[in-house]
Amino acid sequence: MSFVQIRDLSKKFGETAVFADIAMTIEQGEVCVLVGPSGCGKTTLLRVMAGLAQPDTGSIRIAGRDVLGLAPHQRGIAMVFQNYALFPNMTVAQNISFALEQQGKRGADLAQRVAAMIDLMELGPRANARPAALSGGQKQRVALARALALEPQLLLLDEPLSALDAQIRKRLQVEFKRLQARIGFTAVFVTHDQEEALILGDRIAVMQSGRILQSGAPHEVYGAPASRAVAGFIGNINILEPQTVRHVFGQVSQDAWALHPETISLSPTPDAAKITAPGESTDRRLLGSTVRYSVLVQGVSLSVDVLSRPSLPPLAMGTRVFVEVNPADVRLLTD
Amino acid sequence: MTKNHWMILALAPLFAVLLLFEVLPLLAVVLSSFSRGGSWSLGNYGELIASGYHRNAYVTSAWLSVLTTVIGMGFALPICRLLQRVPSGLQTMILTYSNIGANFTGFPLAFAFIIMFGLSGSFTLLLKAAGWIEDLNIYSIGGLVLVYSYFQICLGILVIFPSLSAITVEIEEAARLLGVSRVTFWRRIGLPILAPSLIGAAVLLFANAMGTYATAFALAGGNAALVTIHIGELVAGDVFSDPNLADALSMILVVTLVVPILVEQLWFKRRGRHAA
Amino acid sequence: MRLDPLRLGLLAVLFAVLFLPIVAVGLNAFAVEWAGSVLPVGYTWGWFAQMVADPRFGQAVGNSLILALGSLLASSLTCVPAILAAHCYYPKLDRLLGGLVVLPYAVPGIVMALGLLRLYAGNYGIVLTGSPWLLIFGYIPLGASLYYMPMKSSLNALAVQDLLEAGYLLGVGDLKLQWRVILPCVRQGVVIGLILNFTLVISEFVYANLLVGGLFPTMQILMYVLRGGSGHLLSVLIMVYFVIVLIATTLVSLIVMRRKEAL
Repeated sequence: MSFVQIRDLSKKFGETAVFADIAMTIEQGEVCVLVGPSGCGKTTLLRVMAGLAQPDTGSIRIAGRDVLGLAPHQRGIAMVFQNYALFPNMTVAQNISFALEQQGKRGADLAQRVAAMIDLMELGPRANARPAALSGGQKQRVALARALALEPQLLLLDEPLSALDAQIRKRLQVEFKRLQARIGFTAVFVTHDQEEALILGDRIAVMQSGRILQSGAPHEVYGAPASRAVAGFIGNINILEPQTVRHVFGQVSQDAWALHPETISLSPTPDAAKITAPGESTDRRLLGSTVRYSVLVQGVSLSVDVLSRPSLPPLAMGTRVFVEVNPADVRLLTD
Repeated sequence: MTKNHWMILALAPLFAVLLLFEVLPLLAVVLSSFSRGGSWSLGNYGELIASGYHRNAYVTSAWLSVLTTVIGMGFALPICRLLQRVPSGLQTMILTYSNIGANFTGFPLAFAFIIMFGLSGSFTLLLKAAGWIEDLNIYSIGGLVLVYSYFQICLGILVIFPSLSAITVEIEEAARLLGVSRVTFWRRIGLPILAPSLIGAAVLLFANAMGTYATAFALAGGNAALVTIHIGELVAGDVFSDPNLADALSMILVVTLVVPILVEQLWFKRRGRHAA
Repeated sequence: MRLDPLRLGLLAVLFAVLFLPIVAVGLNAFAVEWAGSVLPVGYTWGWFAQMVADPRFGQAVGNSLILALGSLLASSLTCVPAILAAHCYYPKLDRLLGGLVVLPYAVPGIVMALGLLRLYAGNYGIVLTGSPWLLIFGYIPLGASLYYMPMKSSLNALAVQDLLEAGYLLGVGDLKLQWRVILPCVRQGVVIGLILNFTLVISEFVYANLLVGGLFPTMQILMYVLRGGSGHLLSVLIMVYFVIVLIATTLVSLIVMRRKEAL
């Protein structure tokens, strides 16, 4: 039996459904990332798991216990908020000890746990500072410390890195993964950033308009999107309708094609053994390790990613080039 | 949500007090203003409108308030501009003393001005000696203007200063780069940006002056031709005592104060406040 | 920030002008005689001595302080919990509260006093007039905005909903959250409200005179009584009053300056 089991969860707000038919399973020690655009219901779903909101139907079981009837602090969960929610009048150490006090910890035991947490999150030099004196990254580490100090069975994180700037975000992503590997907590992480989802998740659930479209390991969701919606959301994908497939590649297909930019290669001459089409480069963008080209093929613009190599000079605009596709890399979209 | 439903009890005492000591008394005044000789009537209002004595007081109160509001704003605005350029510590100090000045009303202020500008007051003597004035009667309406101006200017400083931050250094610099003259800057940029706050401030100052009782009473006693004094006399005066008339006069005063506030709120709701 | 001597000089002059009334009263409090001359004839502590010896002085100062302290207790216990509860849990009532709190700015004191007289001078069987209790409760609506504004500015700077939820998740109840988290964060606003309410009460004349009068003479009432006399005693009383107000207002400005630093 899975550590966390969610079945038939749904919630309405008046007449509109916030989310419906939610079913999820999470194994112990897994990080499940809930990813989707703003307004898809992921935050409300998280809050229902936390006990801050009640669902209309369904059940949630954590470690074999049905938690829906329980108050938040009885569920064995802890939560990290996007805007930290640190108590402004308390120092870092006090924020952590206040949380532990609620669990009944006192005296030496309490002090030791606080010290251990401060060490773990490397907050030592700032332990007596108030939140107002901390940077965004530090504040989020304190929020995480406060949550983990409770040794929760399930850690919930509501877009914890969205308020931080890019550099800090990347650093905290690495730190989060390291912490999780070391402590092994189970977590549900909500984000709207699909890149973050791919980096952090052991399992990804793509959510849209209140439903989970697809859930699975990152490479499954990325490489084999089950629907147009998922394909369009994760990664930067080329979607070609059947007519366009015929028009561009001369291939007949019942279903639409989904082509990842990195699976299309460029060549100066056509290779008869592969599916090819003639085109012209119209745009070039250096993304660091890859170069992203826009190639106009039979009036259709395709996104093509090529690994950047100093030995290969970039293509000038307007260069005639052939795009090549390996049939095995084509994903068919059945919706 | 695990909201504690007993929290509503926290609101009960204040709402009870507000009801018993603010709302109901006001309601009592409203209702009694329509009562004359025991029956429902508009007679009180009629009598007030017809009476030259009371009309005079209203007009005097009104123009005294308008005049001192203009004086208050007229001095406060340039003072605040000066204040902007002063270091923060000194700023706070001056604002603190403006706070004292704005509250320094009633007997203390009136008496201070009597000492300075009374019949044998220091400044009266100085000004007479310098030949600037013939005579100065602090107990006249002119005297009231002088005294009111003191706390109006102080209040003006307190109310206008925070809103000046809307005219940022960046805006001034941008204008300077475009070659905009000081006069044009204020006419086309500065005052329009400040207009909502300035109008709000003016309404506040007007209400403050119209509602002043203690200062006028301290200076001119029960004889002053002002609405607030007349109300006081009608309630507790030795000669005239007509509480219902006092109520009606009170209502006229309140309406005079509420109308500008309502107009200001509606006007700016429709147009939307300017953002810097 | 430019600070040229001309502007500084101008500001100093204005500052001095602001202080003139106080200076005038101060001189008169020490003046042996001051009528018909630009400056007093001589200086003496005599008037202070006379004032302190006068039983009315002790009574008035005592009454003012008792009234102020009673009023502070009543107003803080009534207003502070209500403002917190309205902001955190009852937004619609909060809007109503905001409106009621600013009502005294549109309704002059004399009109409110009128209403209070109507209701509590015996017309309906209740007689509160003549008792300081009427003042204590009557001052609450007048001073509520002095708590409301500074507290609101602190509360708006907090993300109250997030803090409350973080607390719920830890299993902390509302009362404990208010006491341990929210109230400490608005502490400065409350203190400012307390001090401003204090100055309100000791400066108040209209209610004190019309509703209670000589039955419970405050400093302001004593000023009224002394107005006809030589003026020197009145000046002494005004100076005592002024020093109290000065101390209180300076405390407020110190707190405000510390607030600005903390941001």
